[in-house]
Amino acid sequence: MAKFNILLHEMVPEHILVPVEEEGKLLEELGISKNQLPKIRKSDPVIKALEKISGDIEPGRIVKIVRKSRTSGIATIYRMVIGE
Amino acid sequence: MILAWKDTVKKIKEIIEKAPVCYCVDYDIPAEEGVSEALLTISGKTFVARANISKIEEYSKGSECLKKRKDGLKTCIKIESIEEIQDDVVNYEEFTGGSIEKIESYAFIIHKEEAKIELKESFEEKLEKEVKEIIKKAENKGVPLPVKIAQKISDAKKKYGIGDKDLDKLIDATIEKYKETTVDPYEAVGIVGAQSIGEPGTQMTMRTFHFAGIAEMDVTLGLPRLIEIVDARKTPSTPSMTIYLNEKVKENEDKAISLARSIESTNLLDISDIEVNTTESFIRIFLDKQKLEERGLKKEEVIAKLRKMRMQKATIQEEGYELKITLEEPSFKKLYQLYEALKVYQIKGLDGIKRAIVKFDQKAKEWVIYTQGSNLAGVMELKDVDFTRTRTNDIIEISQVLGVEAARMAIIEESISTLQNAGLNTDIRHLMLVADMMTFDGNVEAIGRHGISGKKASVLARAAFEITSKHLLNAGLIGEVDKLNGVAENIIVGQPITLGTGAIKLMYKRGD
Amino acid sequence: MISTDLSIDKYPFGDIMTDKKYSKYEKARIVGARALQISMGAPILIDIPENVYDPLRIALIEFENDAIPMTVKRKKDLFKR
Repeated sequence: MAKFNILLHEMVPEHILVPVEEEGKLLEELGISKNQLPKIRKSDPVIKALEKISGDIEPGRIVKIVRKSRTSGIATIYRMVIGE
Repeated sequence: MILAWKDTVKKIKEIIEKAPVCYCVDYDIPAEEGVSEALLTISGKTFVARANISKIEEYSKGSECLKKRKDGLKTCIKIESIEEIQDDVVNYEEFTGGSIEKIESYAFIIHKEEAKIELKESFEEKLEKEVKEIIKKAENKGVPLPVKIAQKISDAKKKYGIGDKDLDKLIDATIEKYKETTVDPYEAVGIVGAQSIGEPGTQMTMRTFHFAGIAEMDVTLGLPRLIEIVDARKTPSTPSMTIYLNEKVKENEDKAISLARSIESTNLLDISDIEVNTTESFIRIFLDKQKLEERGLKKEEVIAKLRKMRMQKATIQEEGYELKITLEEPSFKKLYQLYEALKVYQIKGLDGIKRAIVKFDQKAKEWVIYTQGSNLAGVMELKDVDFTRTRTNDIIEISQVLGVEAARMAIIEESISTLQNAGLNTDIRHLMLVADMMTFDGNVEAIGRHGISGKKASVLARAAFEITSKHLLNAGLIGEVDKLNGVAENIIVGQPITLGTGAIKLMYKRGD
Repeated sequence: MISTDLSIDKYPFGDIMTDKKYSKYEKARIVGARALQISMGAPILIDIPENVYDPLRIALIEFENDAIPMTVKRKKDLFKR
């Protein structure tokens, strides 16, 4: 790993791991199935950094991303972790 | 500090068998202090064994020990215990000796410094109390109001002193207006987006004036840049970086200049002329004194660096600013191989950064470094650099160093700034849609045949786009099913498309 | 695969549209279908001002008065497979 914490970079939005128990409720709210979420790779630098905090992240987990948005201030989206 | 060396499988097995043991090697290892650990590698890619060592001492004849070679032994390493491990070489940093990947004899290494990883402060928590209240009130009314609008309401409330009752009315009115602006279901947002970017795109002149310079630096702009972004090119035609400095040194011009100099990658050819003398078989390097000074280099540094270079056995002679390299076993081929290697030999700086200039930002009152060429990971590791703000225009590099989400942000920022530079005001939402689609899969993908258009789920849609017969044949061979969910396939089949009014199914109201 | 949930009480597209009865596309579709019927001689269901002859205008007036005997069939879980 590098000498810097990429999570602090201003271009990297907040990534928060969604607890497994809350996934069902979340998908119900969104009205879609898990596979329809945008994806994020397990090899993504941010996922690797999150793994340093909360241990191994298996493919299939959902990551909540809170972005700063020019149009709405704060925007929340979700991505599903996939392998590779 | 940790001692590391490369050995054969056989020898390592032998050491493990016989430990504790005294192991003799055929090279000098200076007795550094505080070395009690050693790592052994076979390939230079991973370390396979860790040993506790008690002593590094000169070899003396007659001492009983395991020998790496039969003769020419120089140093004895006392190994107390040894165990097999699997550790990546990448986790270590070289200290002295050769680089770890190319360890020939030995190297002193240390654990790579690692940043403490912690989460950023949450945006949501940073919100003001009033803003949160307004969002909650709107939510109770069934509408999730965007934070930015809530912020504006809260600002207005403070500015005009709006009471609670009027605030309710204001929120109601805002919600009403907000609903009008939302997009209806089945709206063809993609096509609207494509047209909204495409039409202003036609206003951009085709190839002229696409370069703009910040102080002698070329940056691709206009249509070529826009195409580059959307095509997700591996490297942009003019990669460049903007490097910001730490709080402490950002007003210090000297620091900024020295940093800029130190990252500029300098080849040997940049600071000297190289001449091959084939008749007498040597290479002569004429160092340019003026160029050396410009780049802040000293002759001794260059020579020291050259001595570290991996080449055939050769001797370097100094004659003032002239260096003469003679090979031990000269041959015409070897001489030219060395010449080619010398030409591109990097004396200092970071890979990929061709030039770096320093400019003063009047607004922010700080020194900023602009570079030609990009090496984000390398620059972010530097000491005086404020890595949280440092950025590059190479989107693929961003996705590799900072992840997809940062790449999405970069696509939006880069494309909107290119359009605005050309004086075009495209709504950012269209570009957000493009960026969302490009990063949907977790990678940055181009728009087009190799990217998202080539990966559509429907056979007919893909066939309609490009290489019709290939797609149809393949689909036939594997028995692909088309669910007719998209637009193109429904047009081909002759049905109403699944957008706009075409997506609405009617039914009669049951009689009452 | 296509679900046939006939309830239109809950709009499947999020909470924002709950109080709006029809989207612009739904309105266009309903009015269009009704105008076609009227143009082909279907009986008009409410009283229409005398000077209105255009079937589309008639359909619009019917729509505004909630007299069209049609509604839309929404797929509740449109995006679910």
